Amino acid sequence: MGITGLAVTLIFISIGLLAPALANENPLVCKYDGKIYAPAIKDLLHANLPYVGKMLFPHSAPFHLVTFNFKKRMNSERGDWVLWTPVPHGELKTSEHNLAAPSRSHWLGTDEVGRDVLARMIHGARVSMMVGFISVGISTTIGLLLGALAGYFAGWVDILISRLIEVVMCFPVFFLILTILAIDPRPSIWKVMIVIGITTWTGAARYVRGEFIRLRDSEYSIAARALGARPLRIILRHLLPNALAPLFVTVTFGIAAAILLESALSYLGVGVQPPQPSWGNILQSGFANMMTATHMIYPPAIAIFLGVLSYNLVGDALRDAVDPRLART
Amino acid sequence: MLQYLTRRLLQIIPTLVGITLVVFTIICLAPGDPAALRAGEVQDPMISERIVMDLRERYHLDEPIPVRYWHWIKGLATGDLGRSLADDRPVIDKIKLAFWPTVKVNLCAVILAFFISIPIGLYAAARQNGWFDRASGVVLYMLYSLPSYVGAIILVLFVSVRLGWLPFRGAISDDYFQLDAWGRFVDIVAHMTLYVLCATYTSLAYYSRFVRQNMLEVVRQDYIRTARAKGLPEHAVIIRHAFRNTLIPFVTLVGLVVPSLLGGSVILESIFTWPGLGRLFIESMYQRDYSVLMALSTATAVLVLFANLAVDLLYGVVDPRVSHR
Repeated sequence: MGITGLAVTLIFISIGLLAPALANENPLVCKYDGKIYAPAIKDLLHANLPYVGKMLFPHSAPFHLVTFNFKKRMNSERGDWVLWTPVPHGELKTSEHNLAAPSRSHWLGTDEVGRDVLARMIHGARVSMMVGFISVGISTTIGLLLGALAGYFAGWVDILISRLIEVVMCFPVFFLILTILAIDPRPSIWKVMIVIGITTWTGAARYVRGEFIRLRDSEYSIAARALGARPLRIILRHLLPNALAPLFVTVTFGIAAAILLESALSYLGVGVQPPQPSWGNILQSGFANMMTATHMIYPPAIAIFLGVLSYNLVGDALRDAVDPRLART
Repeated sequence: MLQYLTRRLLQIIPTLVGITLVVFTIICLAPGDPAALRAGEVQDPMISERIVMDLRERYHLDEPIPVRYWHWIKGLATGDLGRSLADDRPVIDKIKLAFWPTVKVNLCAVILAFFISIPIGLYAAARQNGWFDRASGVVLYMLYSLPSYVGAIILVLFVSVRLGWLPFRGAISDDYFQLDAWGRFVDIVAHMTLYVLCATYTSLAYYSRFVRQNMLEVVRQDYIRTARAKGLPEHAVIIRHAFRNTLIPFVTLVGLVVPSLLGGSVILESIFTWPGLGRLFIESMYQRDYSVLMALSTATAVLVLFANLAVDLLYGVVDPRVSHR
């Protein structure tokens, strides 16, 4: 089960990373008026490696023009040819076919302003994966730092940090995130990630603290101290590597929780802002148009379910591997 | 015992001050002026400017944050939560109105979840690794991974929209007050059903796994072997000897559940247009109604803190071996 989960998460991650080359209104590679262009590949590089992408493909006129329509301008007599992306629609490109049912040109139909739902799902995967990884990265870093300090130094440092953990744990986290995001006049995906990160670090901190208290008095750390090693060195070189493996368990479950949280926030309209797609806001517009068209509800529902399920499965498998005592009896 | 209780209660105070101070600061730093928002309804600019000034004066909006926090704490100490900035009604009235719908649904959901998951957990533990144990494990794990609001949307789509069996908007129908007593009861139950189902199913996996895990630990104890050796029937062994002893960890579970009665309902309430605390929170958020927001956040925090305390105290009651010093 863990392997299946891992496979699904890897598929989602690759879809997310490759999104600009999987669904794009511009061609992957084409010849236009005697020159060869690769606008979708340029978008892909641009999205994943911002600076390198810009250096390799400085300009791709006329494809960056909004008014340019390659489909209409293409002339095969001139020797033009084209290789489209698997889904030849952009996630923001509107059309006059709004709320169209799934068809051969739009595999999952279109939304209320005629955007291709499949293209939006693919780009939504990118958003979900990004939010999952970056927010958990932030929360784990904070948790690791505070947990390590509390566990290693004990005494008043520990009391102070433990109190802080307790206070943050009693925070109505979902309410707090909603408040911060809703009162912000310019919400953005980065703020969503930061807010999720700074409110969900308590689990990791408590965990690391416990591990450090256990490891602090182990023979090897006493030996390191006797050799005159500085606290920073003991923490980084001796204690951290030994506490790290089990931390992956909290990281995996954290990603599942962050994906869930992001889609919930976007559903409520305070997370990822339209027109940028996210599974949550696709589901929301599907629900809003439920009476006239139902085809927009299933894709995001299934994607959110599979995303959360697969990360949970990986987390469970990791936990069983790291701590056999907790394995299912 | 009394000393322990006093110490714990005293510890709650700084924690609570910390939480309220942070939430208060965040809300106050937020851009957007509740006074201007409310005065925006008045057409005449001269009058509206005066209203804004009056409102700012009245709610201390021009004073620095520490002073405003002090005003708020003073009010709280005398049991006064202040008035709503949006419509000037006392905050406590608004919360009272929204309290029961939220508690009603969540209480039903928790009770239903216990009634379903405890037997599942017991049976799965009694026939460990049997077909029921495996099947229920897989099904509950799937349900656990389906977020409640996604499940809610699918349920609404099929049961309410496609089949038209149950309503899904609001807590009562428009013609509720024309109905007789039985009709009213049916109306309330019909509106609650889908919501309660959605609030229930995600927690089933957690509860039943919890019961199963603890049962498996207890079943290995000597006194269970003794009970079996005495020739007691299996159901008596499981229920009277084993299950009773799993009640101790179950107390912690109840303590963890209570706060979620308030917290976890924001999205479900917005899907079912339920007139509860979650919707009140969202509405107040958009109106920058910080007195209501503060009251709701504080109430949640207090609930969590006291639930934690209650769990620790109940430990001593359920298991006399635990002593509080």
